[in-house]
Amino acid sequence: MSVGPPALRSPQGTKLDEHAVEGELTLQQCSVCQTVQYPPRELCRHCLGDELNWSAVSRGGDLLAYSELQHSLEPFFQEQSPWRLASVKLDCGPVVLARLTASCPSGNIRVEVSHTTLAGSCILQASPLNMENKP
Amino acid sequence: MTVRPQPYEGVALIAPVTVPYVRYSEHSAAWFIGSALAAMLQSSGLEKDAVDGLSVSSFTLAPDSAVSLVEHFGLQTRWLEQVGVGGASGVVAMRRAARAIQCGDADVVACIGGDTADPRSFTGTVANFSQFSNDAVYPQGAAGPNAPFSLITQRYMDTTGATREDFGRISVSQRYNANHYAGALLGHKTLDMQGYLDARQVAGPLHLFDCVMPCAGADGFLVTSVEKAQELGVPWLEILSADERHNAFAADPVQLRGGWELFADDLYSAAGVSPKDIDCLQTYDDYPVIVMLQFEGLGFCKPGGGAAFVRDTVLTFDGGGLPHNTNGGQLSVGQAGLGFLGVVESMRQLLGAADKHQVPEASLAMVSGYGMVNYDRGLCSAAAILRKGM
Ligand SMILES: [Zn+2]
Repeated sequence: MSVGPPALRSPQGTKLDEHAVEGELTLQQCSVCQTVQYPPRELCRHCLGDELNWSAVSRGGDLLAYSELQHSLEPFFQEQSPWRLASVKLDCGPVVLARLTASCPSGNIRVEVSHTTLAGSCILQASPLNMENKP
Repeated sequence: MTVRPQPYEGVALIAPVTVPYVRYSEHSAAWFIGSALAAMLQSSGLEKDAVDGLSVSSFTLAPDSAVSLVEHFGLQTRWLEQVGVGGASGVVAMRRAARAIQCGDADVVACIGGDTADPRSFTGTVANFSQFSNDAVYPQGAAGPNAPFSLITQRYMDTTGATREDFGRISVSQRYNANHYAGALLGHKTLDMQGYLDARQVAGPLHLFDCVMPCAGADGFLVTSVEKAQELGVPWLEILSADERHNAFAADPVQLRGGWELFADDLYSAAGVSPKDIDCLQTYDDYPVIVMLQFEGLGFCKPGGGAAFVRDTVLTFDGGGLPHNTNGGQLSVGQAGLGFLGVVESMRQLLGAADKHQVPEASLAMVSGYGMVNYDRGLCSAAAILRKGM
């Protein structure tokens, strides 16, 4: 029985864990050009400035695709397979990969992305919002 | 106006070799790469001392590097390169070496892609592939490339209407080709459409025969001058055109196109040919959806038209359509060595040395590469058009 998800993180990834608040979305934002960054990094992807502040950003986004993963090389995930992984285009800019909380049809689905804790480790999750409006 | 890239005149590709692929090996990557070098020397008749340039690509060479191998193999080189652009490395290594030859920085460059494989090394490679992957993909349980590519595949299907059967046409025709290539690890097994569709699910739309099998092996070739090739009396190939792009279309939310379309027109015009003139095409087939992106980006069909193209085009080596991944590709041969498989297969086809999977009268070959899923997409695209030297 494995105890938790793999905790392999860079120093920047560890900071994401430190700034994460359950139910919120806290990402790096450039103090010069305001570009929101993800995955975590040390230099702004737009202007290469190095002053990136952890900020609460808007959680809304468009679901791009999701898939049900059947197999993982990691025992922790293998034990809880299958699970749903989604790619989301956030309104604030970046594309994030996140765990999808519920299955939904494809196409034009709005989601809300926030931090959550999975067995003591911080990950992103995406919750479908407007499914009742869709066929 | 500067012509980019500059022509590859005077450059000769010779001595394509393969160190047979195996599922697992006790040997190191150095053994596979060095064995490829030995095979090239034998094939070309060159002495080891004549090789004054080395280009190496490998995911499994660490903690060693290219310079470690110079010592290991008892070489003394004046030119050394380690090309790390994943499945684009074969084409990119060829381009770099060609410039070294043209500039006179080296006389003979050995370009080799090789890997070893044991069950632990693959887990290690995917677990520490990039910082972005460690921080944003791996903690989601998405170890390895299947998860990001399942999302790309799903989005491609939703956007273009491509079906599993369409992807299956690629995998099934490649298996047919592999059934005619003794070096293919899965070449002894047949695969039909029903077998493809019935395979176990791996991730979303991806099933077993959409995924490559990592393995051990090496492929390589020598890059030298036309003069040198003629002096050796060996058959040689010329590079009519070649190019690469990295991080193309970064603003696209999902990768539904690669960098190829940024340079494909120039490739054809520099070579003085068009897609219909290509006698055989080798794409980088880590997943069938990426093959479709290459058909589209390289001008064999319109953007989003990959599914219709494979419905209308016979892809087997002897079917008279567009012979594609003519030895079975990575999907049926196995995955090792970072995109050298397609370069070496193109060379064999043009040299008439492809034995049972020879494309009749192949005189013009295209090979493309793709690689490095740093986060949610492959960053590197490359392609080349090759012809038998005259
Ligand atoms: Zn900035």
